Amino acid sequence: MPTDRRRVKRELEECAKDEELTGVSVRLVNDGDYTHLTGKIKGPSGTCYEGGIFSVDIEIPESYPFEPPKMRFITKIWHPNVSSQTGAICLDILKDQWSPALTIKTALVSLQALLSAPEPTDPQDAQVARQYLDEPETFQRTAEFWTNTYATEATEDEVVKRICDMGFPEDRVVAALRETNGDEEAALEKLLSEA
Amino acid sequence: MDADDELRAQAAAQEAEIEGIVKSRPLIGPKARDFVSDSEMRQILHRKTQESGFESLREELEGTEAFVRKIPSLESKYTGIRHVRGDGNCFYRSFVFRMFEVARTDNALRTRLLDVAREALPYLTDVGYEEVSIETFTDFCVETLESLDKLSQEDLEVLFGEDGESDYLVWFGRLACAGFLKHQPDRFLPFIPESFCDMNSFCSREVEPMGKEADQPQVIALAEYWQLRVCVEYIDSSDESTTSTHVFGPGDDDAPGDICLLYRPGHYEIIYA
Repeated sequence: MPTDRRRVKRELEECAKDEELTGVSVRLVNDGDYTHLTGKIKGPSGTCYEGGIFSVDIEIPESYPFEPPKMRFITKIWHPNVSSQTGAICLDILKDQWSPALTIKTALVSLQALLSAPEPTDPQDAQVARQYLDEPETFQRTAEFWTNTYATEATEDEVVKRICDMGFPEDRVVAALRETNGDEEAALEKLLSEA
Repeated sequence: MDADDELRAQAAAQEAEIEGIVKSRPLIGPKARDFVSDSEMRQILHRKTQESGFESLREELEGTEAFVRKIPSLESKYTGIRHVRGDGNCFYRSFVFRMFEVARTDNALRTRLLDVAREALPYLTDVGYEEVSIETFTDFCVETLESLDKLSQEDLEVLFGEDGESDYLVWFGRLACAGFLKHQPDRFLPFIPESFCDMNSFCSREVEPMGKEADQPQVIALAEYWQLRVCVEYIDSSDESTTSTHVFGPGDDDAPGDICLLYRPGHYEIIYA
């Protein structure tokens, strides 16, 4: 009997192999739970998303891979095909053009391509799409501002250093960050509660 | 709510209703009792057992004279019909179910299919499919073929009567078909809509997603992939009084089909010689 759990596990391993190259990565939210993942997409260079890291919430439905993974931007983003309020995404392969031949990685790579090439004629956010078409310069500025405000994550080393500077030993900082999936605030809280 | 929203809501409700009707039908119906030529007998049988024979087809097609007129020619060549759910997967489901049904009792065929299935993974990765997304399907097809002689006819009908495992076999049909098309793009490109610039985009739009109906290139591809002779009887609104027969796959012109299907515009079902 085929199980999607095995497949999701394999997909994660495959995705990890070339995340430097693709600029997309994916992790489990909770250890051992293959139904809830977080993806990260590097903003494509030469676009108003350059320099940003965009987090995507990924739910794996029970009937995966026959149903697409449910994806939504966690990081706020100014883009015609993404709701600026909820992060909901309008992309055909996440809807009726999904097929089991696709993977979580290919879906994230398609999202990355959508960042490079918005499709304002099939918008998720009508206001953003209108701005994209009517006032391209304002759009560019707004999108860059959102990228810089919401999507710049410090690198892991920087985060470790920042917390260490508060007086915690490095090994405990690294362990706390690992347990909280790199969430700086949660890691700090954990360290404080343990202190 | 503006007018657009209202229209969208109406369309969504309509879609949900259609989906409900489609899903109320079995994925794979029971095989019809052998055709009984005496029309009175047929009616009695139909009333008593509600078997889905040609009588049920006649009922479904009632009112479209050009279709109904062709049923006797079908009855003269075939003994029964098995209805298959009209969910856009009917060609693949019909083909794959019938293939397993025939191979269950034909060991030589089963061995031949196993040889093909065991080569599927390299055949498909060769045209760009990722092992991680297709191996569950190729593995399950091989496993099912290996254990097929231990399944009863009823086991097979139960397997194909439920979502879940059977979807793996049905989608493998789509995958094999797409793989075959991608191996011979020059041969098939002239027969696909011009809006597709290459075979990869055609397959990812029209073959790989579940629920997409099959056209002639897909039928030819799947027949040739498995090296099975497929005989399709077309029942349509033409002036003829008989169905027209189209044969795909290997074999002499007058050889019988390994798999026989009935096609009416938009829908495939299994028929039995």
